[in-house]
Formats: sequence, C-alpha cells, structure tokens
Amino acid sequence: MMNKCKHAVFCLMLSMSCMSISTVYGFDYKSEVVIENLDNPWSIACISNSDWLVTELSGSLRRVVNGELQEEPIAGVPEAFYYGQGGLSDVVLHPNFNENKYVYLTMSAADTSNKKLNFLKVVRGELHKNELLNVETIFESKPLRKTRAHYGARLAFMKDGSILISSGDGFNHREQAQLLDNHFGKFIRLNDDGSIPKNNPYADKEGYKPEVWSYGHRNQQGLVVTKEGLVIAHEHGPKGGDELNIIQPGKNYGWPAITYGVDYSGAVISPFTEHPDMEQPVKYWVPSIAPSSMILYSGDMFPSLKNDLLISALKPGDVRQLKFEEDEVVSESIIISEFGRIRHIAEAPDGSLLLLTDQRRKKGKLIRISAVSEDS
Amino acid sequence: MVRKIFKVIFHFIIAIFIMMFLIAAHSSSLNLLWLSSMNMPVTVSTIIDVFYGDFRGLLFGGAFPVPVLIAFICLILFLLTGILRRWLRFSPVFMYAMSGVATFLVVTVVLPLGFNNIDLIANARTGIGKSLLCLFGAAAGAYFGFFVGRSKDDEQM
Repeated sequence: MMNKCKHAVFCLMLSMSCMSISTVYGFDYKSEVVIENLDNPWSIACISNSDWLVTELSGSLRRVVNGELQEEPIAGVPEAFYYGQGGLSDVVLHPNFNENKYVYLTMSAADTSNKKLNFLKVVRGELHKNELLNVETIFESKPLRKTRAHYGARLAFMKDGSILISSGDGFNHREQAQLLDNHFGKFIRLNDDGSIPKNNPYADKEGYKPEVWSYGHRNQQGLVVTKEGLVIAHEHGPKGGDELNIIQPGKNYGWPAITYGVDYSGAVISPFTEHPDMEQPVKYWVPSIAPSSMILYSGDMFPSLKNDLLISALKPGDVRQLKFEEDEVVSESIIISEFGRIRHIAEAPDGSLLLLTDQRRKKGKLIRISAVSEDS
Repeated sequence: MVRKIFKVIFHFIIAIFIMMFLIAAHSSSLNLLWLSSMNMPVTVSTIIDVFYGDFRGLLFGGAFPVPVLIAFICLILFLLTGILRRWLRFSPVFMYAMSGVATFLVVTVVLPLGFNNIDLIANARTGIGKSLLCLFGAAAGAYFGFFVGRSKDDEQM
C-alpha cells in the first residue's frame, strides 16, 4: 500500500514537472510537453483528439497515439530532399479523410538526373494503419532550383474541395515571382487529384502556368481558408516586411517589386511599397517575426480566441492572436511566448492547441496547450 | 614603421570602401533596371535614393556585416599575397588585383556552399554578376597594390 502511494506521488510530481500553468494577457492555459526529441518537426495534423500525424523535416512521418510517439515512422513516404530548409514539410488530411484516408504531404525532392537540383513536390497517399499506400505525386514545381531555401510548402483545402499550395521563390529566384511562366513565388491551385481546375485565372492563357492562383509571393508558410471561403496567408519577408495577405485569384502581391523589407545584406530590394496593380498586405511586420504557420481558431476550449487568427512565429518565438474584422486586423497580442521558436500551430478537435517547437541544433517538442480546468 | 602601418591600414580601408561602393552601384543598377522593366516609376530621385540606401545599407544595415566579412577574407588574402611576393616576381598591382578577385570568388562561390546555395549578395546570383563582383575586387586590389605594394619596404603586406 505504502509503495503504491509513493508511486502515485512520484507519478503526480513527474506529470507536474512536465506541465505548467500560465496566464498571459488574460489568456489562461496549461502546457504539457507531449513528445520530445522530434527531429526538426514541421507540421502536425489531427486525425482525432488522440491520434496525430507529425512530419519531421528529415523525412519521417510520425504517428502520435494517446500521447505516445509510435516507434516506427509511417512506411511508404517518398524520400525527401533534406537539406537547408528542404525536407518533408506539411501534412494535411483530406476533408473526407474518414472515408478516403487521403493524406497530403508537401516536400522538397531531388531531381532524378541531377541530384544537385531540387523542387517542391506534393504527394497524396491512403493511410492504412502505419503505412501510406497508393502514393501518387500530384504536383512538382518547375523549373528546378539549386537553392535549398524558400519552398513555401503549405497546403490547404479550399471550400470547393480544390487544394491551394504555397510555392516559395527559391530565394535566388525572386524576380521570377513576377512572371507567370514558372512556379516560383506563387499560390498553386489544383483539384484534389492533381488535375488543374478549369476556372483557374490563367488556365487557358498560353505561356502561363495554368496551376497559378496568385503571384508575387516570397515564402508563404501560413495558409488558412475560412468557412466563407476567404483565403488568408502570411509570408516571410526579407529583413523586415513579413506580410499577412488576403489571397484572391489572379492577383499580384508585389514581391519583389514592392516590399516593406530590405535584403539581408542591407541592400535595397525595391524602393517601392505600393503600386496600383499590386495588392497591399492587410498587415506587415517590421522588424520581422518570421511567421511560420497559422490557424483560424474555431474551438470552444478558449472562448477568447474564437474566430481569431493564431500565428506561430520563429522570431523571437511566440504565438500571436490577431483579431480580424471585415478584412482588417484590428488587434494583435502575443499570447504564448515561453517555448522559443514555434514552427507550427494546430487545433485539435477538442479545441486544445498543439505547438511544434523548432530549436536550432536541438530536438523539437510537441506541446499541448489546454484550458486551465476548475480543479487544477 | 608606425607611419607605414598606418599607410597600409588607410589604403586597406579605402580598398574595402571601393569594393562596397562598387557593390552598391552594381546592386542599385541591377535593381533599378529590373524595376524599370516591370514598369515601376523609376525617377532620378529614386535612383539617388536607391544608391544612397544601398551604400548605407550594405555598410551598416545588413543582418550580417557585409563589409566586415569582405574585409576579413580580403585581409587574409592580402597577407597571403604579401608573403607570396617574396617568391613571385609579378607586379604588386597585378598580384593584389588577383587577391581582390579571389576575395569575391570566396564570397560568391565558396560561401554559398555553406548557406544552402543561396547568394549572400543578391548581385551575385548570375554568372555575369559574379564576374562583375570579381572585377570590383580586382579594382580595389589594384588600388591597394598601387599605393602600398610598390614600396619595397612594404613587402610583408
């Protein structure tokens, strides 16, 4: 009996050591480190409250069941080109996942004929137990790139079931973002099987990539589609000039002809911040916060966050709540700032928040943020 | 001796300034040409603003200190050139010009290998851009060789 009591006290102390309660700006939450030692975690998708998929940039798709990281990565995931910012990136479930079991993955991949060149690739496969079956490639960005940076690599489903993919400018190819014959610095819209929707803005224009939905982007890593169908995205700026945009078909978002940032070297990229034919961001950040992902919170666990945008940021590392009314950001507040660089934020079906940390040269963590209950 | 050291330091700093001035001019020209081709309203005042912004930004506004990086690589290569001059009988102007070229080969070809193949100086993204930067290095090196390397007393540098 005594031993059981000691064991219970030990377990309680252990669990308390992994859990903390915080209050920031009236937002009460408790945090729990669910998984440690993830290898560059990049994205998380929730199958249920207790079954999650996590991508590791190094190329593994991991499954977390009831808070336990399954030992073996999910089999059948194509090999990713894991260098620099490249690797296995986003994981998104099909809206009808329960019926069709489709999982969508974005990744960088090496060219088969020249391993020094690479591109952004999107695949989908059917998840059965711990294996991805019938994997098919539904998108490959062109042209190939030598750089290993700025892939974008976020994916979201639109209201009509088509998918939107962010394709970054490849860093060295920024001017290409203004041209419509390539995939650098674009949002790409495809049907869920990879075919090209006929109502894309450049579907029937010769010399243009028919997949292009919008252009003039840099490195878009936050993408949300609201219930009403509004597409909101954020992108990394250079040194300063991170942007939050409302994405509309056929629109030019300006990079690099207009920007609020300067080059990392300090050089001017463009002296212009606006142009009549180019869209203005609804918000921009100078200095940069390095926004890494975004959700539109819809849960009931945190009523104060309901219908607000939550943005995870790498610099200095926090989660921000943006109140968004009539296409305008009316307020911004940092609600979580204790975990350092946050790579991804997701909402579990029960309304709790899941964060992936991204500490340089350290293993990443999966942290669950939930409401402080009456008894805690 | 002290006078000699000051002379060398002075001309080294001027050589770095020449490099930075030429990089800024190159960056401004390339950007403005491209912006103009995109029908952006480039005017004389824009040109002046961009060049001033580039020169000031490259010197003081970078996320990494470009002049310090270039000066560090250049210093090592100039010192190496000073040593090699004991055995090689080329003119100092030529030898320091080659050092200047080597400085930019390191910056534009070697360094990107450690940074995901991205070019730290945007002007270096094309072959022509890299060549021009090497030419700027040659000009600054030639300046240094002309004013410092001619003197037999300065063979160490």
